[in-house]
Amino acid sequence: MPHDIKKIRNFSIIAHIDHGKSTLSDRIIDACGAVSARDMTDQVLDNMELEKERGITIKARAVTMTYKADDGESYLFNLIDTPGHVDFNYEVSRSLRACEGAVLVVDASQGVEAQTLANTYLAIDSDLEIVPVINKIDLPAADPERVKKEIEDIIGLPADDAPCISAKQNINIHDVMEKVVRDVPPPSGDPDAPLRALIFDCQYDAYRGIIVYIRILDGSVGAGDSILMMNRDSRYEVVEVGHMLPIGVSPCERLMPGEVGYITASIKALRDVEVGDTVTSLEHPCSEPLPGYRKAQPMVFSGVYTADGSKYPDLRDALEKLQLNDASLTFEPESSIALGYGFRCGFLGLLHMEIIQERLEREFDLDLITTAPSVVYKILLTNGEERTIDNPLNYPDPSIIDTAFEPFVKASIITPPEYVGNIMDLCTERRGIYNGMDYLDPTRAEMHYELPLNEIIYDFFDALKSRTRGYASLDYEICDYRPSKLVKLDVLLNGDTVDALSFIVHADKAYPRARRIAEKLKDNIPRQMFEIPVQAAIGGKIIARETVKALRKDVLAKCYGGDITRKKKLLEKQKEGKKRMRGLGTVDVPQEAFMAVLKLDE
Amino acid sequence: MNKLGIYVHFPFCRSKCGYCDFYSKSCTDGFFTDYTRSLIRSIVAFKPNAEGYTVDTVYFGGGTPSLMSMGEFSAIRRAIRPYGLDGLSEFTFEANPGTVSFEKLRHLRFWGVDRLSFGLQSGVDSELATLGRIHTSSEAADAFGLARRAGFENISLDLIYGIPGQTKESLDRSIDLALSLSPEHISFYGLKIEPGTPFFGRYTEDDDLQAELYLHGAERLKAAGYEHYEVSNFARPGFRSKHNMRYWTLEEYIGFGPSAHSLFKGRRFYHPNDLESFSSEIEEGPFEPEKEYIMLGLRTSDGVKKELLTDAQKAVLKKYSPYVIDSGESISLNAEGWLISNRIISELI
Repeated sequence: MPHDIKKIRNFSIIAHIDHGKSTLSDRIIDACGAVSARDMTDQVLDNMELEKERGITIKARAVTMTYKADDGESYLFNLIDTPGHVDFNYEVSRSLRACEGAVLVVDASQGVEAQTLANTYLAIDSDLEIVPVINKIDLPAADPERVKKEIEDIIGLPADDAPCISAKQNINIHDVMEKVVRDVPPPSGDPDAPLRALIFDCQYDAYRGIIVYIRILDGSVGAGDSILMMNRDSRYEVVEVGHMLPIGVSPCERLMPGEVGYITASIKALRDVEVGDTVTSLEHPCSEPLPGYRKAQPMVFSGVYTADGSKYPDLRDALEKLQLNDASLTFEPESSIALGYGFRCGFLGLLHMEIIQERLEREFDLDLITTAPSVVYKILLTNGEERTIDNPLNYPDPSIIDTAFEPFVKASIITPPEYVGNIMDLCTERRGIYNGMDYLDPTRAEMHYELPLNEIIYDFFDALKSRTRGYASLDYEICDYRPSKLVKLDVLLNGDTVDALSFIVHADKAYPRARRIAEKLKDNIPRQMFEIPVQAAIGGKIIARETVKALRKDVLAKCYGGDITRKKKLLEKQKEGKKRMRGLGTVDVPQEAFMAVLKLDE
Repeated sequence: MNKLGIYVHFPFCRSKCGYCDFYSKSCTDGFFTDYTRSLIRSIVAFKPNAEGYTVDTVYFGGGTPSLMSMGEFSAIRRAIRPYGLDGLSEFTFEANPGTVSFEKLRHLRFWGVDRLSFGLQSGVDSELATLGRIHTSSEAADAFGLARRAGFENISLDLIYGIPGQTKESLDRSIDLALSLSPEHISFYGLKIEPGTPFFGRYTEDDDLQAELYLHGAERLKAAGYEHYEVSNFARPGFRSKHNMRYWTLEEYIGFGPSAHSLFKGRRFYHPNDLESFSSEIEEGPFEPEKEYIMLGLRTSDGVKKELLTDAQKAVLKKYSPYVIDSGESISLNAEGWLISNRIISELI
């Protein structure tokens, strides 16, 4: 049954991380009666296991539901969930393109945060109607009036009649629903025009092939139609169309203009589908594709290898499948003497990198080893050639380098004023250039810095949080490349250079970092049958050294009747642990040692 | 007739030692008649399963079995008698040197106990205090004398190395005291700091020091005529613990009491760690003879038979040749090898 386009509302929820976006999504789904109470586990939209655990949304999800409004009419709500972290701006903009409105959730005590602003600007850029909502009014520190004023002052949105709600306590959710009906404009579109639909997400399903999530702009699509994906020039016959429900899907005859839904077409080839591409009819194609998405630029690169070298093809498959619904992930084969065959992967940021690693490990059951993340450096050689380096292995010999350049970001840090001193110390340690500070209001300052990207990709965010008791937020964007004194630091285990542990660092930071790395490796490499020197070197010169002492004792002193089963398990676990270690030359190195090198500030 | 070992667990102590992670409760004398009753019930109830068996060894361990009254002891022994005690070759009773009297020891000896295992642990009183032991070293020496007078000709002493504050010199004093008593058997254990014990977080194990103490102690005991026959056990010729050898050679035994394990008719099973429900509940642990033969056989000086090893296992052992003794027919580990035996065994299983 085609739905009246005037009764469709396509909207997203945008918020700073932890301001309650997922909980509000759940409440809206709940209020539409879309999920039975039994299925209503917390945060139904976050259906990746990992998202639930971390309490954050990584992938955008879309659901369709019906809302019976106070005016007596039934509305079709398409709710598209968006991620909230700075690394995922790209995903947010993708989701927003499929909507006419956005519900902006602001925490009633914390007020407007860096990410609130960034997401709001993205929504405004996409021409969306914004519906502000004040959440968490049940908390003792809630101050809705102050927050309303903030929204008006800082974002410039009228917030007088913004619903004051508690998603957690289920207070005033109804007001949000009515605001969506009233304020979010219905979509427009011509049902008789040639099909024009935007692919805003997709997902791999082992049985049905790739499931393509689309928003219809003009025309309609149904089973049996021949479609063309314009950018990739791939042609398929549609098998099924329908709507995504909070749990499961509901197939329908045709998807009409303004609707959000899915298409299956037995698409097996991952390269045939691209998020941002335009779906049209093969027989009556539209004249022009929709403008594609801004391609996200990976900023952090790292080598990803399987702990078990023979699983390399599995890793390639897994990366291809992940890339399908995370176009911001890039990868290219690379090889390392120490680790064998793997991939050089590009990520939006460090959190993105961690999430991808965890998804690879959980969803594809892989044990991974990742190398220290690197940013992209530009090197001008003495012969005038310019090289782009995202892998320390390719770092040219210093004698042929004329000038090295590293990327800088413009960072804005919003913090309560009492932490300004701590943040200044931190940014100075990280070679930051102070560009002034504004007071947003008496309780919050916004500090402006220019920072080298390679100083913030490791653990800057963690350090910032720990020095401000979690209050500060960070937003950054790449600004430019600047000349810099860079050196390549090598790590040697038992005298052999381990290429996978090399990285590029600012010359002034080389000594302290080399010492920390040597210490970390010493602590994370288990004792082996012989003594292992751990060294860090620039060129051929050793600048730090630690020693992993030889194993002296690893024995179960007591093993009587009751101990045998337990101790057998212990030995089996030890055997498993050994299997997960990577033999680098003569030395067995556990995965954790590679990870530890990334977190030097702990 | 098949032979059987019987283990009886007595999970009570007067006070719990700071390092102990065995299942035991602190209590005072006479508190545990209820426990004895359910123990006896489970011994009687199991008997029909053991038709065709006769008892080879009995071992009362704990906890502190020497806290039980002699009436209770006799009642438990009476419950075991139907299993067939005529062929009994060893009957061990663990005793805390602070809890024995001449009368008690006479009673045990009279009812067939022929081996005592005393928890001496250290000959240095400050170390005993650190461990939380309720006896001093001179009390331990006195208890040992009482046991000899009561007619015990097979006595074992426990010693611990790696006690916080212990040095090579203080270990020597403990060994001196032990050797001066001339026991038939010595167990020499490394202190393991287990999660959940009061020692955890307060002390850490020093692997290098423990390794040094172990090798030094083993050397001294060997020089005094003790055979190093298992990772942590030393005996005068003919005085290995027969009951404990059953564990390491995969022979059958039944354990009664909470947390007591059994290997019987090709199954491993055990009662849970719970004083109330142990007799009614049984949990299974897998029995994997091939793996266990390696894991347990390499703990003993008898080692494992070469003919039972795969080529891959032989190759691993070859890699560790400085730690291996090859007697032609069998392979065993030397003291240095035992020190890193987890590393070696985990590669073999």
